[in-house]
Amino acid sequence: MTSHQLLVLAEFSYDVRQPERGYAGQTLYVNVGETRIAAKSVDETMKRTFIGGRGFDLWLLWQGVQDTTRWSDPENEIVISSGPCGGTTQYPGSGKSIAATISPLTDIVIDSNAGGHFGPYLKFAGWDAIEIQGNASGDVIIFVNGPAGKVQLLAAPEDCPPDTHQLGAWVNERFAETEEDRQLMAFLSTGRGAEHTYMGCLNFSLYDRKRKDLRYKQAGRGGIGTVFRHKRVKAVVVRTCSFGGDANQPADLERIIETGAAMHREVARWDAVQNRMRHRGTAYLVQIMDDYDLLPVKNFQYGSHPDTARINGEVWEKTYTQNLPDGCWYGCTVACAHAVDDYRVRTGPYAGSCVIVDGPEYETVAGVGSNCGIFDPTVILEINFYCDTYGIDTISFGTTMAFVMECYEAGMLTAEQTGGLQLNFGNAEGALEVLHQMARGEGFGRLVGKGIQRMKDYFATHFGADRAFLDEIGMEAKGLEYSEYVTKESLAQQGGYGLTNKGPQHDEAWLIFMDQVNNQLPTFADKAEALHYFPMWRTWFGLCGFCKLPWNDVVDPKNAESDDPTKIPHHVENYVRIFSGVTGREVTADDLIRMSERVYNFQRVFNLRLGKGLRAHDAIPYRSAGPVTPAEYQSRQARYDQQIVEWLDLDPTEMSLEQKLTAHRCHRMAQYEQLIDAVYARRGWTSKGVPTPETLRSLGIDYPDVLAVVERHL
Amino acid sequence: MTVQNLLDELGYTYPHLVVSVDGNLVRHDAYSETPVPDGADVRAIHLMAGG
Amino acid sequence: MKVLAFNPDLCDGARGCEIACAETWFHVAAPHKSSIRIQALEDGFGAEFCIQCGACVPVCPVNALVQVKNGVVHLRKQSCVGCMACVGFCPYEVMHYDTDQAIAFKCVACGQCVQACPTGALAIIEADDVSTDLWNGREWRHLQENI
Ligand code: SF4
Ligand code: SF4
Repeated sequence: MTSHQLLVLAEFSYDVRQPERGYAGQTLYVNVGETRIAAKSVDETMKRTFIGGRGFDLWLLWQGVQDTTRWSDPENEIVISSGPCGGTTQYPGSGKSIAATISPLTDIVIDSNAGGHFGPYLKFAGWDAIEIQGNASGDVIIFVNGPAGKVQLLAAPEDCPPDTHQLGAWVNERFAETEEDRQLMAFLSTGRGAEHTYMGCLNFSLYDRKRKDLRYKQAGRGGIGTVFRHKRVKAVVVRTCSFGGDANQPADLERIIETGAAMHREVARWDAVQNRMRHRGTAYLVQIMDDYDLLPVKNFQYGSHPDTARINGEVWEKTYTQNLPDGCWYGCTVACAHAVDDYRVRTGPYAGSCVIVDGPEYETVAGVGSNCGIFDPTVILEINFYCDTYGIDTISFGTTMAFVMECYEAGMLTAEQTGGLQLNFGNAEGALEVLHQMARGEGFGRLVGKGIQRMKDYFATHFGADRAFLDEIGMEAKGLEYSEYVTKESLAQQGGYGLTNKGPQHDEAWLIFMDQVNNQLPTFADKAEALHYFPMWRTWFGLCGFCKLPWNDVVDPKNAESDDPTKIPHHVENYVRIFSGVTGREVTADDLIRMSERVYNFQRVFNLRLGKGLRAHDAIPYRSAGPVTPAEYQSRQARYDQQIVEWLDLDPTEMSLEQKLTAHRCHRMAQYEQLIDAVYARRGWTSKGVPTPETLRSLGIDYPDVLAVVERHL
Repeated sequence: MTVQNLLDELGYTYPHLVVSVDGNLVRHDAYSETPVPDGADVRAIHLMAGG
Repeated sequence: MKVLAFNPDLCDGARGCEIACAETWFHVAAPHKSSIRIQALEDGFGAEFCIQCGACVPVCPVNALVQVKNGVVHLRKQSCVGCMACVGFCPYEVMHYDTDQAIAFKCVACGQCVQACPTGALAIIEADDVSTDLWNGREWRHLQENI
């Protein structure tokens, strides 16, 4: 059976236009509930104001939903867009897509980026974004057929497999007849885990021409996969016409090629002696984080562990297949998207099969590994494989599992309540069993799949657990689980997690070295400036289709001689050149920040509109600010005692452990409040966290409906 | 003592450092040959990566 | 393997090879579209061109670079997506790019430059080990000594 034989529920024909200066000029709207497909045009104002990527996502979503819309409502949408520079092949890291929706975990907008070929291919097939609305009554597949100029909504047949790695093979068979078809096709999918949990991820495929097989990159955070399956979407398949290095029809190809070639040379020269991204990917960080006491161990209690050497980058370098161009988009020579080939699955429904495991990346190793007290690389691979194919976010899974394990060890949870599982730290088989239960929506796993925030409520109400303790150790904010860095000794990074739009994901700011190790941010004003600049800078990648990693994971040491090495000015200049080269808009580095400020503030207002986005929602669990338990204090006693002397002018030798813990707590939480004041002021927000009308006016987003939202909170 | 000895002592394993001794930048490939005089002002700025 | 070799002693610096190369592959007499580049040095001339080492082959994400049986690395234009990874990773900086078509290009030892050189400073040879000795005349001399 081919795609031609699937039942067509709706069909839409369009003129395929090659992108011009990075834009296709229209977005695709598919309502899977009403079986309706339409095109929306993209005008100059939309390009200027929202740029693309996350900006387009938010703008389309804003118009699609109501103030009261929740994740499961039919009017909720999933919007996916790459951005004007997405699909550039010459500069490393120029093929990212950003997905956004109202999240089941946070009830506000979540945005999450992924590599893979989908976003650029969608644009090459004629669309700057896809907007999926409505809830279908049966499983559907959306097929964007670029060469044919046709979009179809198809009924997914019964034999459509439940999990991504098998679904991929099925899609290849139905939708691609030749090797070339496979190369020019990309699709989105998730697995059964996304159906039964709130932490479902969305898998973005890429056809690996060297391995001649499918690979997947994840838009992991916030349950976008959960919304995808709730809408009953099985897959979104896009097929593009063949393309070359000028597919975006950029304004100045020469400038882009020159900039790209120079950057490739920089990568070739320096990566091998710096982070070895081309060999280890982000997993190089595992040992570094351990060395600096920043690797989450046992639910973020500790920052290092003697067994880290068993799961560090050196180990992964030997485990990943080497010498392949492992970029998640063509031309990414930073090539961190490694994989382990021929992994034999040991547990669950696919036991015995031989599979490719994508990654594991740093976040996965730290989350499902050290943070759960698991230091066995094969277990990490097994969990990584299942999380991906089931469609479960490895970060939320790791952080949630770590929370469960600490609850279990602290006696807040008994084996009776877990269905007989003894979930101590380090219990790999237990963690795997919970994962399989999550995918089936059964047993204790069903509860775990709802995430930490829901579990805290449940444990307190049904198991009589100590709510205050749960709130302190449960590493979530806004409902989203923390990504994998220990922030206790970096106030700025506590803000980097807490003062985010979507929840504690480090993609807005990573300031630990600047703050804690270098002491470059001694004052609140310094921290606030960093918590303005870096979130804006990093937001910009997601507007344009860029990956953050090539910005600062490989750097010519000449950077040390620049005015501000932390910003890596010569790379910032590269981005200015590429953006100008693609769009034909001559911009400056300051202009890039301005673009982000607009979108960032718009997202803050969006949160307000959905009932959050206030100071209260920027609170963080105390575990991320300081030591919660006596054992945690004792593990760093010398440092904490010293701080009592320095910060509070008290004598720790005359204090009980309890008193010392309280003293730290009062001081650290007060510091965080002061940080909030400073950051809000810098961002042009009121002390309640509301962007002022002047801020919105100066950014040119003072639309009546936007102003109406903030006025309710002034 | 050389810059490299000092970095080892401090546990500074991170590869993206900007090191200066008394205000003079030290190239990354010269850490082992660059002496650190007594009382010198040594700075090792860690650039961000990861994240 | 089959590879181009240069003898600086015979080069008169007229750069006819560059024109011949560009005309063969791009149909223009533009030296920046040539895969061989001649430089004036203090004591004569130097040439730089691909020595068919193959380092670029695994870097290409679309299998556009292939080393064929005789050792020559070919670039399949129709497959190339113009990412220029090979340009950045060529150890000898002799992979070039064309900004009009957004593709990379390289010497494929076709011999057109050899034909065009009036002084006989270029030759297509068979070599077991390749190095930049192909550029500086050492490989040339070595070959002559062995004949
Ligand atoms: S650096 Fe890694 S994640 Fe970023 S674009 Fe390249 S391969 Fe993808
Ligand atoms: S420029 Fe072309 S030949 Fe070179 S690596 Fe990229 S796709 Fe391959």
